[in-house]
Amino acid sequence: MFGSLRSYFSNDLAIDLGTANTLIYARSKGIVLDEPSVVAIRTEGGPNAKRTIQAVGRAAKQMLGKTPGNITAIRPMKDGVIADFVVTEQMIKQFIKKVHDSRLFSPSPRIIVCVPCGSTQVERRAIRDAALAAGASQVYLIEEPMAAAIGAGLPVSDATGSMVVDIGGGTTEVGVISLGGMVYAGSVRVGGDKFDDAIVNYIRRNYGMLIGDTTAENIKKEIGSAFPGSEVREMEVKGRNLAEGIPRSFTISSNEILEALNEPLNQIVSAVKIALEQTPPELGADIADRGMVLTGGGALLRDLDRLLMEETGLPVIVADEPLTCVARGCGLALEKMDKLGSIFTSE
Amino acid sequence: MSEASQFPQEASAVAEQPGVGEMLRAAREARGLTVANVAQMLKLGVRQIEAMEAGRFDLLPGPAFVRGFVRNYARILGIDAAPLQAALGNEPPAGNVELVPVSNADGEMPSGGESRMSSTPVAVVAFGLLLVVLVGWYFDWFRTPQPIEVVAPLVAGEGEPLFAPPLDDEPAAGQGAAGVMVESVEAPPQAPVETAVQPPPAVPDTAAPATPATGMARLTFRFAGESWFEVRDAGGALLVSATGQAGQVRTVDGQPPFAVVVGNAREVRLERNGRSIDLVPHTRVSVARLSVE
Repeated sequence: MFGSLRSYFSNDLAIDLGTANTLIYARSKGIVLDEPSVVAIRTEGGPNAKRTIQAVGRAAKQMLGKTPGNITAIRPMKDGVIADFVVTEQMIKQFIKKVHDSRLFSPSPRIIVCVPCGSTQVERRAIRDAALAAGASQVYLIEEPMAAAIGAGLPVSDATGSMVVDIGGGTTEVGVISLGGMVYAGSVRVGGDKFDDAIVNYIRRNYGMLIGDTTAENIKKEIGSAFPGSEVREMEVKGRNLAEGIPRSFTISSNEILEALNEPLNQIVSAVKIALEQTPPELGADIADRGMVLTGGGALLRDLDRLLMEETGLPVIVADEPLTCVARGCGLALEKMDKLGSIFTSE
Repeated sequence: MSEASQFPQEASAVAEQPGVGEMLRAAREARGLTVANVAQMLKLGVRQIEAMEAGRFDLLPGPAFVRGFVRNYARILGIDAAPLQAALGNEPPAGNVELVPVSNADGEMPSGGESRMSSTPVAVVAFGLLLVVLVGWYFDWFRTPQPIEVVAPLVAGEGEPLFAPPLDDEPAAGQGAAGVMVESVEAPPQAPVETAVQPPPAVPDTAAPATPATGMARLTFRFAGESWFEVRDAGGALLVSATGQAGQVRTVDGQPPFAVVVGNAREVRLERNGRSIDLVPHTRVSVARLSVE
């Protein structure tokens, strides 16, 4: 009875607390929030010296790399886990406040949060504590590959092997799932952020130009690719020339970005190969028949599926709406939270 | 959700729009590719490509894979995947996704460590119950012997009529009007029951001097085995509480109605003024409780 009362006042939430984006799924409403995981904090001087939250989400992301001295734009998540506990807690609190209509009662929802399967106990504890401090009444953790597989519509409960590769902002999670549980879980701390870093480093090394993370991300989205394609695309980029110290513009091609991304992509490929090595042969046969499914923002990198297809010789498909797979999977788990316990993970 | 249960609807939906497989086949033939070429490019089996082109999506692993395969196929053919995806129909409704494996059994495995932990409180409760029973038994043991001690001199009387020493002086003093007489006729220990029953004719003789006054009644207890009995009169005063040995006959005079309690009732016959009263209807667990008018 108290459960139904509580659900009347505050809706249960599933949160995909990602390195790059945070998505919130509300029970029976669907995805209600999709914002970058960025917080901008303003330090005020004078008689009322204090630190206030200037912006969160999209507005804060636009401030990244452009802030004056009294504002710091922070990405509190790094490599899939919490890098700044207090800021993460405030960010979750702000996001929950955004999605809660009820002003009369302070929200205290039950929350499902997904965690990277490679995260340590301390990191999981930090995520749980941050959600509790942000006002959750109870926190349940679910491993990201499981959530991604559910969100991608794979038959996770069947006695067949399903392989999912979730390439997020901070981590790449590889999971082999059968009978509602993880048979193999692997995680490498390579993701979209590492792609951006690789592009920044490549351009500094080869062009002597310094570009920001946001520019690198735009280059990646615009002309980045993981496999040499037939067409070569080009893009004009502006940055600061290191030798002259003056902003200059230059043109970069997709083949150069492919070269820049070579190293992080190899790490992902080897993580997938290790997973295939470790998979029991019966499940490996299922995977050879169906292939693996790519989810997460990294799956949007052009021809990444072809790269994995050529490297492994297995069919590779990209899930529908890969960016929201994990959040939708968390949401499905949320809808059935009271009936299932096996898919949740302990610390 | 098994593939078999889900695919019939999807297959029938696709059958109404036969475009998907044929569009793929037409585009492939227009580009001069064979099924084997495509299978090699997509890393799929030839039978999977043929199933796709024939529209037999029920032969493919599942809806998520079908959409992915069709998208990949369309991409290598250089055609737009969106209309094909639309023709495949929407994704299955989210609520139907099964997240736990099928189960046809119910029950929990015993866990050794936990049961050993939880046996401690059970043992404590069991010990407590045992203690309660023992304490109750102990006090019961010492309560019932009391009449024996009181009656012992009566038995020693060897058939001589004796006035029962009142167990409680006060009620006896208050009941001065109600003459209380208990007669004890001890049969020879080795005498059979028949001879033990014979003395009753003598009882009226011995009891004659103590004929009850008007309004009084006489109860006669005949014992075939060892038993105890207790009689209270109309005022609730205890007339007698004693034990009887096998073969004994006891009479009690007093003001009716009597409240009578007889232990080991099967071995006792009760008479009121010579008229037999059946104890069986009043007996519970060998103790008869009844009221005699």
